[in-house]
Amino acid sequence: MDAPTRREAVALFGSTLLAGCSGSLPFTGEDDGPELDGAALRAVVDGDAPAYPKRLPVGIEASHLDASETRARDLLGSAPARFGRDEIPNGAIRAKMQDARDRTESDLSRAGESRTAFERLDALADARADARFVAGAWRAIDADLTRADLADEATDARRALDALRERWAYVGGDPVDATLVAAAVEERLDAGHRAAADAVHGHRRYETGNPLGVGEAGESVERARTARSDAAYLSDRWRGSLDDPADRRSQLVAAHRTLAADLRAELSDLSDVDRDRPWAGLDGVDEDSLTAWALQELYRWVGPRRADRFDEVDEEALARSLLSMHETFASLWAFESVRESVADGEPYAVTSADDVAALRSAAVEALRTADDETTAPALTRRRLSSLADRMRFADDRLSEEDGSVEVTWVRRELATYVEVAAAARATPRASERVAAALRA
Amino acid sequence: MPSLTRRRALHGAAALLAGVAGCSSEDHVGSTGPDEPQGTVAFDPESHHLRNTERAPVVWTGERPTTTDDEQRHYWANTFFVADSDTAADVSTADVEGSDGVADFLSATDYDAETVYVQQTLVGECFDLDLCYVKWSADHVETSFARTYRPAEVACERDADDVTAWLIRIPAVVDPDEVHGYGTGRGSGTCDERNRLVRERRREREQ
Repeated sequence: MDAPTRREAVALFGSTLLAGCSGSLPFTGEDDGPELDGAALRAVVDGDAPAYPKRLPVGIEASHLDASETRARDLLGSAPARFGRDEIPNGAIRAKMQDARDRTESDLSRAGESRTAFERLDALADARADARFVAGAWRAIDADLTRADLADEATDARRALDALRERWAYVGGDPVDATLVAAAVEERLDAGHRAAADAVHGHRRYETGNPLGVGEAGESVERARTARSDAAYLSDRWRGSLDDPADRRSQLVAAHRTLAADLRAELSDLSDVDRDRPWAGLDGVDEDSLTAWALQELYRWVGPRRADRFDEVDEEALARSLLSMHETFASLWAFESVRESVADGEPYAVTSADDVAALRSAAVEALRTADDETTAPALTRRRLSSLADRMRFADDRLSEEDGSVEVTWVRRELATYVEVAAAARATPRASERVAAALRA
Repeated sequence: MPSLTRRRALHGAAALLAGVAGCSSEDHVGSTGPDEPQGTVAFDPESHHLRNTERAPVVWTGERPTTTDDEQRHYWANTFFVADSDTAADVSTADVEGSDGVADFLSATDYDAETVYVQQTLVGECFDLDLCYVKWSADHVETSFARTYRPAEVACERDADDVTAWLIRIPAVVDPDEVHGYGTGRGSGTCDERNRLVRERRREREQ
């Protein structure tokens, strides 16, 4: 039998883990190629990296955030400050509740360190939910609270979300800003509805009578309530900031139709690409190379049937669908640019830490250039924020390497730099395309 | 059922759970897919279980198994069948709560139509097991459990284990000498949920 390829070996290792077996990797003994020095890698990834905090064109007041933080702290304060054997004799339940308490503290710390009010809003939403888990589970232990007792609150939250959905509108000002705000409201309405349903019918990871199940239901109710109050707040603040809160919905729908048609036409250019091996046909690209990984990752967003999802306008996800098309355009052009670069002789080969530094620098440069040169900064920065997060994730992963590491084992992280660079370069053009359609 | 607050409940002794999980059994005969052994399933079968806070055998036949370090692991995982009344008369148990019910459970079994499968396994001190189903064929037997939390007022440590023994009444005659394959699974969902999924899967495969 031929020795498995690296990709097959990784897949086999994955299935071995799933089967609950331990053991060493099914190494083939083949030459794994060049190695990278861990210390040199750490020096590379310690380099400067741009960050793009998540923002929304809505003035979020400190009073709203403070109220959310107070709610989280009050919930946490309703349970004992420390869970010991006297308070919760069952050690497994005690540990779960302590975990939730720790998560709340971590959420609150993250909120305190947030770079923007919008990021703080999300961190505090998590804090409220995690704190409510603690409070709910404790009340189940100490005062017989049950899941059923929370059903009315969940129903109230769902009705409030429904009422907001009825009265809310796609208003703006600038249609790009209107889309960004609308997407944030849509997300919260959707997440709130899911959470309200979970509170009643939900995950049920815990059996009836388990206080952790009550905590879980409480967490869902709190998520639903927070989602509603944040969505209402963002919507009202946005509307209040507008001189002329004109309804932009028909404009957004028209833009959606235009962009969906454009995207379908452009995606059809990829019909010849091998969907299982999107690097096929490129000379010198081995399936275990970082180039193959990068192309496969980018292709995930532009593969067959991608255009189908934009054929119909989802009434409750109009703005998010527009932003999804923005990402798809950028991914499409990034995919094409990587293929073209390879065809033009760019090997994306890595044999040393210097090569890694070059890939990473290209990604950093692409992010900065995109930010500098875009004509639609709000749209572009939203995408750059995700790309910068991805790059940071690759940095963190590479910084964990001790000793030396074979290039093939970190090609996924190295491929991330290629993807980020290509996607960042493509983003301003995608932003321009989407903004033009919205403002048409 | 009257509810207890945690504080009131703490005044009561937290008894080890034991007793007949006397459930209505529902047989389901049908072929299974390639990734599942052929077999008949009884959901929520009649059973009786015991729990030992010591890491030692709970139920055995013949001589009490020794529990030297080398052998302990073997006896915790011990499984056997009680397929006739002679074997039933030879069954002994550790002195744990619920052991009195073992003889009653065995004597209430109709060995012309039923077989008792005995399975012993470790369970976290803070957890219980619910028996979801037993599946058997001529040469294979498999059980599925749901792991549930014990009440908050039960004093236990997260990393400690107890030994449980399950006497499971299979509603069929099984020849112990023919059984060579054993399987068991456990998950964190409830038995209702686990059984619902198994029923759906089997129904899909029959269609």
